[in-house]
Amino acid sequence: MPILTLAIKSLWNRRGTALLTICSLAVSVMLLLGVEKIKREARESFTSTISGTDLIVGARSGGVQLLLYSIFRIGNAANNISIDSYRRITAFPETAWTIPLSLGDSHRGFRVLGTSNDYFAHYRYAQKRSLSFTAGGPFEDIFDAALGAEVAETLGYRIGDPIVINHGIGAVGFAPHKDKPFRVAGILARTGTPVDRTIHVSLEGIEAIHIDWRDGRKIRGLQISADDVRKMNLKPEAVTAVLVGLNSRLAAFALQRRINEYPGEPLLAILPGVTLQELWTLVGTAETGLAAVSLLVAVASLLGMLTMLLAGLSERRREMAILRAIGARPRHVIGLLIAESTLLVCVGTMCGLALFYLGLVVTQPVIETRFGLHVALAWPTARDGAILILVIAAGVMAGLIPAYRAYRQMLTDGLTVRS
Amino acid sequence: MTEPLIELNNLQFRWRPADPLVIDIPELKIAAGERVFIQGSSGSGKTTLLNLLGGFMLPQSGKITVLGQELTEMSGSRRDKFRSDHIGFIFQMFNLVPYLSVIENVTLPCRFSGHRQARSLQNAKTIATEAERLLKHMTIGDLTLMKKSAAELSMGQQQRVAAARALIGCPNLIIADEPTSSLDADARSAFLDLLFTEVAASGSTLIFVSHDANLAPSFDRTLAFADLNRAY
Repeated sequence: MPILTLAIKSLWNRRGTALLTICSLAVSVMLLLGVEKIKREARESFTSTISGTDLIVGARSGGVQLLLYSIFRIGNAANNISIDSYRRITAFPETAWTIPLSLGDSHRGFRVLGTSNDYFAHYRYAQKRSLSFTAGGPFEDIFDAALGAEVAETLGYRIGDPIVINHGIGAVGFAPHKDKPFRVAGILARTGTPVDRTIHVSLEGIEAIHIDWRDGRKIRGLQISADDVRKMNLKPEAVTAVLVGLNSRLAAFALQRRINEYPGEPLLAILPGVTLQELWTLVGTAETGLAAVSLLVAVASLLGMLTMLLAGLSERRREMAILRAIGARPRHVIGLLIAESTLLVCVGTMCGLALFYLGLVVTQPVIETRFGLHVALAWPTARDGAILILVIAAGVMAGLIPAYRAYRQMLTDGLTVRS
Repeated sequence: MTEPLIELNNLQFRWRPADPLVIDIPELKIAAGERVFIQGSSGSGKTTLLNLLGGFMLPQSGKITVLGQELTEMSGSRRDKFRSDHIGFIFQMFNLVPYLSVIENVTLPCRFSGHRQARSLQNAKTIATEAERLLKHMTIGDLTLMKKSAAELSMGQQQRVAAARALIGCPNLIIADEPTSSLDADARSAFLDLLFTEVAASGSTLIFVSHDANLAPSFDRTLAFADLNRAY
């Protein structure tokens, strides 16, 4: 009987403990693959938040800070940049397009972004994917709003619904711009980026709701109705940041320097890719911790397997002696024990792989809707393969320990079989 | 006596250099085809002698010649091969590999020894049919019984399966260590009868060790272990 068949039958005979060992191995392999996948997808999703934009320009502060408030809608700008600077940047010969961004207001916990229709035309995410509408379209009126997918879904808004924007940010708004409600004109398709959690309105709309305000307060006695506002020639005075697309990417560095040295006001231009990488090195440490934990789980389950095999060994002392008396050589018995650990770890690893994909299929829609993270159902990567091979190799190595013990036992026991 | 199957000369064994001798046998010859009964009380070193005969252990001095070959001069792996080719063992109890079926247990020696596989195939087309033949002779002919896992059998049945396994491939020597002491009187004599018949049929030599002097009359020759072993 080939050793492998013998190993299978021997494990089947102890299927209770063997199954538990396989389960623990499977869970740890699933965890390893899962963490690896989340790491990869998070990084992917992170770096694909913005694409196609060559420069982000804002008031002078830190590059990471500029990226955080302009793209991730985290934190606030210390300063705005004047509309004059915005126009100059737009007028540079190297500039292909610009998107103005004006932040500072919110609606029921979601950030409101004042921009222009250029946003829908030029904003790109992931692999240069452009934004698309699932309903409605871009702004046609000052008080039109375009909702990110998550905003529309969470708040249950449909085309035509009115929206009252709060001054400042925060879930429970204070000082709402009640007199000038916006109307939902378009709903954007899901992107898995902060765009999903943003309410887009026109720059003029932002200007309009602040027209009878000064220094964050309503001017007492001044009341201008929405219809009157429409008739006024609204001219935004400032924007928070500008996204710039260039005719040639090669010009990015030169233009960045020129903007940073702009004499009119202190500006900062960043290359989004570079600053994203910088930010990721900060965020990425959490994933290293996660990977370390899952590695420890894998080590624990391999130790569990070792415990099972070693505990089984003393019970199987007699079996080994019988095998030897029947004619099994030391290499047969060593082979049997290594075959057992190899089988356990191989089956465990394959179960872990299956469990991982099963988990992926089950949780994919949840992760997509809850976190806006699209987790692709893809073949294992080379890195996944390396992880699997490493686990199997570690399992086989662990199997050498009981094999050696059995070999020593067998030599001393001979016929003197203890039961 | 022609060329003896087993010849022991000045055999001495102790567990550790400082320990007293456990085995001290000046001379023992066992002829091919002989059925020898070695009687001795438990703890007298009988099993140690069988360990030496089987090549599991080596003596500090003396010679063990089996089939004209000197065991003490063989390498460990040569001894392993020699044992699996030429010797069949039956223990007192728990002889079988619990997770294998009866048939698988009986055919196991042929998997480890090409020599015994070849000799089984002289008797039958496949080793499984040879195993079935031996099991039938051992009155375990029932097919459902043969497919059963070894752990499901009664003690008497297990010992007969163990005998069939020791006999498969006609090894030159069968070593039985108290194979009947876990059986009741009826099962014991039935077992002995079957064993003798099959040993005779395969032409094997039988060394049977037991504390039970009542078994002695059935054998060609009886040796008292106390007389044989000066260390005892």
